[in-house]
Amino acid sequence: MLRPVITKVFRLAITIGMIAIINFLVIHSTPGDAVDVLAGEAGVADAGYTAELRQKFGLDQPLPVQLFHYMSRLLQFDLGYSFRHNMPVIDLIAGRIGPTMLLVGTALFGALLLGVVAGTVAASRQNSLLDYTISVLALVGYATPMFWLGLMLVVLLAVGGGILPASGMTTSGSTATGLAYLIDVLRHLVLPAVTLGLFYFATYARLARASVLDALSQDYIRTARSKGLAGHTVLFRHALRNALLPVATMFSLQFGAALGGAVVVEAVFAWPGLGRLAFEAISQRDYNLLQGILFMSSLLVIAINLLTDFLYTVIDPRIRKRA
Amino acid sequence: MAQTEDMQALLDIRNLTVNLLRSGAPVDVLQDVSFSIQAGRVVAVVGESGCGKSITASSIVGLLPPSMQIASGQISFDGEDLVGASERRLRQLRAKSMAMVFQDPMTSLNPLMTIGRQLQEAAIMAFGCSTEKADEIALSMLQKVGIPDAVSRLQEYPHSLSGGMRQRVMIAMALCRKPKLLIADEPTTALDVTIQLQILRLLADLQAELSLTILIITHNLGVVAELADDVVVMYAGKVVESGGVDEILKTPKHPYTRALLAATPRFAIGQPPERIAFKEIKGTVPELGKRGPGCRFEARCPASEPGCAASAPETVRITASHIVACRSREMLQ
Repeated sequence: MLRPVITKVFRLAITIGMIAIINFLVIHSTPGDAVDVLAGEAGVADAGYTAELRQKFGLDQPLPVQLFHYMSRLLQFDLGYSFRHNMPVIDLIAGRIGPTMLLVGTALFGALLLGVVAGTVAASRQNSLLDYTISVLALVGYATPMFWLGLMLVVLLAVGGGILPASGMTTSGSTATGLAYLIDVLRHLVLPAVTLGLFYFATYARLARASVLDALSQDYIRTARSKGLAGHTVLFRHALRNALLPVATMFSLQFGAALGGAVVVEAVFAWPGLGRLAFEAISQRDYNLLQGILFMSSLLVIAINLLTDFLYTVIDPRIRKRA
Repeated sequence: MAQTEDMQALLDIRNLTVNLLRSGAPVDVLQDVSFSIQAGRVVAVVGESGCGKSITASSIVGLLPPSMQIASGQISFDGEDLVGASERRLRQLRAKSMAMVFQDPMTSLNPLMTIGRQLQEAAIMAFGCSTEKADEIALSMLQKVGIPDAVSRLQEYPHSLSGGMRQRVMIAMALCRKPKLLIADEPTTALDVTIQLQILRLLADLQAELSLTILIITHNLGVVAELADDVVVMYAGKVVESGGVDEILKTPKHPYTRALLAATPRFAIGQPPERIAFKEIKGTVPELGKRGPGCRFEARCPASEPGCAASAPETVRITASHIVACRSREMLQ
């Protein structure tokens, strides 16, 4: 009973360690470092000064030693210090992870819910006008580039109509609290969440349609019909649950991609999240910060995958048995 | 089929024609199929794959695929016309009066639902009873079909049961609603030979105990000999011969029935296998849409005569129960 858990934890630890090492190596294989940027900005290119800075930050050490220091700090949950922001990386991330989770969560779960509903409706009315409409919409959503959609929404709804705010997470200068604050945030959330979520909505709608149709053609559906069950009972009780497994798989696979998509969306909508922080960190060569963000994002993806694994065992008894 | 005109059959199919709708003219999948089943009897429908056996069953329970449609004919069940019946009424009949067991027990149970829940669902549909009562029915039925340790089996999922056990569950699910008619569509085809026999014995025992009326679809003449009272032989969507089981197995009249019997391997313990004892039927069942106006078996028939391809043979009544559709006088001797 305990052994599979131990195996799992062990595997997890190895995965996280590998991620940390790869992060470190990828970032350090790029030319230039934070000192180049700092020195450049300060207008001092004197070799003695940069060497002093490198020594101060430990950047003069050989790579393996730096890696060793990085890993041992990670073990103490120390993600390092951002010299650009003059703050510990962990504090910077903590301030930005909430908005990102709000954005990505709203976009993905909204897309999942609406996509499964749309796909199921389309499948249950296969080849009807409704089915074609949903399929075409999904195809369009699938093919629309995210940055273009974001800009168009801004032009149409924010700049043109002034219906929804196009930038930030709250109205600047607002001191609203409680419900008013919540409504303000939600209004700001609409456009970025739609922009990020449309592609995923389209993916889930198409996938759900295909897998509900597949489920409906299975023998156990014929058995359910032969019991005299009504059409909607057959659909929801027998077909839909079976059809959800591939959708759950897709959901967990796409979570990481959605975090990546958030970088673009946060940049377009000035959403104060991790994506924008990462974007800034790259342009400023803030290695410690970038490393920290990549590491935390990896942890998030791993956590979501674990959650999906758990969800599988809830949905599918065949997996429960094996686990 | 041992029927007297004054006795009303439980199921009576008259001139049933089912069409496949497709671009262009519709093609008939079944043509003029007629047979009936008296209450308490076991009728076997035999024929090769693609002869319309399963379509006949689907027509009865109202579960034809959307691409197919009953074009003409009557299906009367317990005095009620099913062809004109509403979807709602057909659903009610499926829930209470007509039950089906399918070919492949490995895929016929929902993998995400416990056995108990699937049985319970059937009982609730049939009797509108409480879940507790339905669970009771499910348990007693599971015991009746010979599933050991039935109480704990109720909590299990289909994947932890063997094929034979799953088919027993399917039979329990069919019978827990006390149906007037059980339709078994090749119930043993997907099972191991030893398990096949067990399932057949189970069906035979249950039939005797509950005086079930069974329509069994099979291409296995061993199943026919074991279980059936009456036999309907179908070929390419038509009934070519029907009669009592002895009439069909001992004095077959139609060349197709004879060919089917000749194609059945026979083994006996203590005797060497007769290597050339069975003969294949050359060729295949003609495709839909490529069936001419004449006898559909003509192209493969060893006794075909001039004229067989031109017009369909008349149905000839040989005895009160034995009917055959063949024009060859020689065959009918």
